[in-house]
Parts: sequence; C-alpha cells; structure tokens
Amino acid sequence: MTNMSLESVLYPLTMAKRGQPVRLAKIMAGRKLTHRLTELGLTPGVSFEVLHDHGGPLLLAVRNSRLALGRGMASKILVETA
Amino acid sequence: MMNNITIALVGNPNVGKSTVFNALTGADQHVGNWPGKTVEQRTGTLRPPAAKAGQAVSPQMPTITIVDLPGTYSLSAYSLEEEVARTFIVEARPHLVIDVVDASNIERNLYLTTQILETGVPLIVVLNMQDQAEARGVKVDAARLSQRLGDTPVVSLVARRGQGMETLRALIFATIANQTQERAQ
Repeated sequence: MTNMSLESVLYPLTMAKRGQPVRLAKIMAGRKLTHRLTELGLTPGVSFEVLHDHGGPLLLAVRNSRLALGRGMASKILVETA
Repeated sequence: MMNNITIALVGNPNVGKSTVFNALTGADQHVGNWPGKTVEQRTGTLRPPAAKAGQAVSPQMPTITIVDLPGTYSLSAYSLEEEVARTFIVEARPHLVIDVVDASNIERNLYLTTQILETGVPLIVVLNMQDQAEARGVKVDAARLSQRLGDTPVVSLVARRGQGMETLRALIFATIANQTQERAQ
C-alpha cells in the first residue's frame, strides 16, 4: 500500500462520528503530549469511540473508562474506522 | 527504632483515595465524586487497630502519618498535582506506599502501579470499588494479581462501606512492624 492511500483513510479524531468505533493510528504531537496520551490509555492501535461531541471537548470511551479531551489535543490524534 | 513512619496514598484520580484516607485516619476530609478534588497533599494519623478491652497499647508503636496525595495517572509528572505526587514518592521516599486501584477500571490503573513498583518503595495495592466492578461483570482475582505483581500484597476493598478496612489496617501494621524489625537487626 502506498503512503498516500494509507493517509487517505486516516482522519483526525475531531471528525469521528459519535458512537463509531475507531482505531488509533497516529498521534501527531510532541514527545510530551504523546507520552501523556499514551499514559491515559490512548496507545497505538487501541479501539475506542466518541461518546459526546457538542463542539467543545470530546468525551471518549477508552478501555472501560471515560476520558475528556480538548479539541486541540483531539485534532492531533489520527484515527481510522475500526 | 523508628518513631515516625510515613505512608503515602496514591492512585489515579477518582478511585477513592480520600475515602480510604478518611477510613484509616478517622478524618472527615471532603470527598467528592469528581477527579482532581485533592490538589494538595493532606496528612492524618493512622488509628491503631481496634484495641481489645483491657489490652495495653504497645508503647513501641511508632506514630504513623498518612499522606493523601492528589490523583495521578503516572509518575512522569504532567500537571502540577501530578508533580506533587511524583516528588513525594520519588524524593521523600515514604516507608510504605498504598496504591488505590479502581477494580472496575483496572487496566489503566495498573500502569501507575507498575511505575511505583519500579521505584522500589514498599507497596500495598488496594483494589477498591469491588462492588462496582462486579456490577460491570469484572471479577479481579486478588491472589493472582498479587502473584503477578511480584508478591505485592493486594487487599480487596469497598471503602465507602468500610468492607476490608480492618484487613488493610492489620496489613499496614504488620508491614511496618516487619520493617522496624529489619532495621533493628
């Protein structure tokens, strides 16, 4: 698979539909934020979903827990439909 | 002879650390059901196990101070509250750390547990909210978990109802007594 077609199926978490299971593909952030998100359970390949999206922070369901994430951080998380 | 013992209570945000703290110290610190409630460390004194009538209190019992640390997801501090927790464990080196784990959310919680284990401080793992975990269909085998964590003691608890508190209290005193003895030798 070429890099382009792979990129085309990845989209930022802010564009994910509510209730649609997604898989984490990549975190486009610096070392510190990447580390932080990983510690919160957002590891590469993990499946999760958006519970609420009312324009502000997103509420996620990750590994049996809920996690609220600001849009700025969410936009740096690239996902694919699981 | 050690006269002052410090025990730190750590865990993820909103796992019941303050409830455990209140149960151990008899304090009435505010407990709220939201993460990040404890932003600074609070201290209290551990009450000795329920003394039987007519039994003299051992004069050699050291004063045990319990520190309720703010919730943290890891020891690599990201926020100010997490730095409070991290600095305390890594630099102040308490005699014992009690890691409160939310049994219904164990996967994320055990990440911090493994980090604490790596620091080498003496550790007791408390599996709190067992009732909620069971309601979600999660059953945690405490004995097996203990074995997997390198024989770290694991106590099951429903802190808000006081279940398991006496077991925890007895385990704390036994651990402290062991340490005191080892140091005396």
